[in-house]
Amino acid sequence: MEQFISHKSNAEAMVKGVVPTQEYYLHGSILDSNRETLLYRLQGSCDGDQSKFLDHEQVFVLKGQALNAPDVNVSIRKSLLPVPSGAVRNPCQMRYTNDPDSDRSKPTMVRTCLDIAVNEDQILQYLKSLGFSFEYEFVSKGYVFRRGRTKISVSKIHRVLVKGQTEKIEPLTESNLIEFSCTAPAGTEHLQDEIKAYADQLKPHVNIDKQDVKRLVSTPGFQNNPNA
Amino acid sequence: MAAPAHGGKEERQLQTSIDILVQRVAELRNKIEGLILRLEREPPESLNWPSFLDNFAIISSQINTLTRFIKNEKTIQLKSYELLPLSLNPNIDENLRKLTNGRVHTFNHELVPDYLRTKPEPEVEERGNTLTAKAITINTDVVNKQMASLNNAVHKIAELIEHERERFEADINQRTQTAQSYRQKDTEELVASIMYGKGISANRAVSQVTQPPQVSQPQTMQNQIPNPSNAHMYQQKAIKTNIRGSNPYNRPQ
Repeated sequence: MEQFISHKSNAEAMVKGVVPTQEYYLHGSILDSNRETLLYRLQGSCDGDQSKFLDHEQVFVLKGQALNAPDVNVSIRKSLLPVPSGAVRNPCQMRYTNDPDSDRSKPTMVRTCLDIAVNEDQILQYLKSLGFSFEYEFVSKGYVFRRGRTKISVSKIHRVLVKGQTEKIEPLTESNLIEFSCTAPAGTEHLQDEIKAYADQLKPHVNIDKQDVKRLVSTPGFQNNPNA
Repeated sequence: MAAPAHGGKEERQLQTSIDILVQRVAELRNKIEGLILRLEREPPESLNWPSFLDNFAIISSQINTLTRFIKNEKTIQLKSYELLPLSLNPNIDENLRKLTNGRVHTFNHELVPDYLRTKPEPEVEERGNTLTAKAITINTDVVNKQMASLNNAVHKIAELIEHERERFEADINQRTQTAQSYRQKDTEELVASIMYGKGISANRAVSQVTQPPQVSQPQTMQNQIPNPSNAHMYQQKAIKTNIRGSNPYNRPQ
């Protein structure tokens, strides 16, 4: 099992016939004023160095065709960091995710996800022809750490003021989003405890836990589309 | 004190009351024994204040229940019963020892005055009596004066404590506020945004979020000033923030 999980890329995983399809994740946040302390602490307890990232993520939805059929969500994520001279820009990442598992007894949130590297221009057109519609976009800027198999990101989420123009952005809140995430093949439930244990170590500085936001989104006054 | 007649109903009532009392006292004793055992047996580092205080709270609430039960009107009035030691025996009484969990071995003339005492010891009673006699002889004026000064002093101390408490609580509040390094609300908002597009969805114009305050401000200003002339308007613009508090043009003339 260990060897499958440590695959560096999906391509490698696919060659060996195992695709990480489960994502275990937890969320938390930290106020801007305390971010440095947290980064310092993460740097001390994670493997290797932190790396900076500046990503633009666009989310597309294919509305469920049949009655009660779930919507299909895919997100396209590309880096906005300048490419060093002589290097080739990495392709975008397309990610399919489904709704998280609502099992409360599990220590982390669990959802099915699939990642694949894509070419940005072509994929947008392809999604459009499939019937996907653009839903929302945001820019996240921050640091990513690795600890064992867990990916830890601390990032500021920005709203894009004019669609598609990633220079005109403004931060959503005074906090930074913290995400603990680990993708692994099905049947690796024990990883959840590992993630949870590390997340608990950062208490009480931050509270990284399962966030039940479905409830938030469905409460009145919080709809995605007030005109609908 | 007259012992009530031992009717069948009353006797049963007495029996149940005593049974309940015994049970309550046994519970209380168990708790106290448990606490003492923990103090003696467990390593000191495993004891912590919160659990210790919890134990105290339980014990004190049990004492409260017990007192309330004794004071309850439905409970038979125990003080209207007499208890007479019929025989004193200097020999060890096995039955008694068993009943008292080995604390009392004999029921003799030495122990009985202590266990069945309903009044203070004679010397204490005597001292009490002299004090009462002394209190009666003091002049009422002096008493009033002393009472007033005592009340005054107590009042001042109470005020001082109250003041200190406020300061202490404010201190604690400040500390918890500064210690807060995250906001749960922000977490939820951020997660809802990245997962469901809450607040950043394409269908929602960004300007909507910032517009309402801009629109509402002039409206409230107009409502507050009934007859704005040009000069008044000028004043409004100059001191926007003070409209409510100190604008003299706001007052009816």
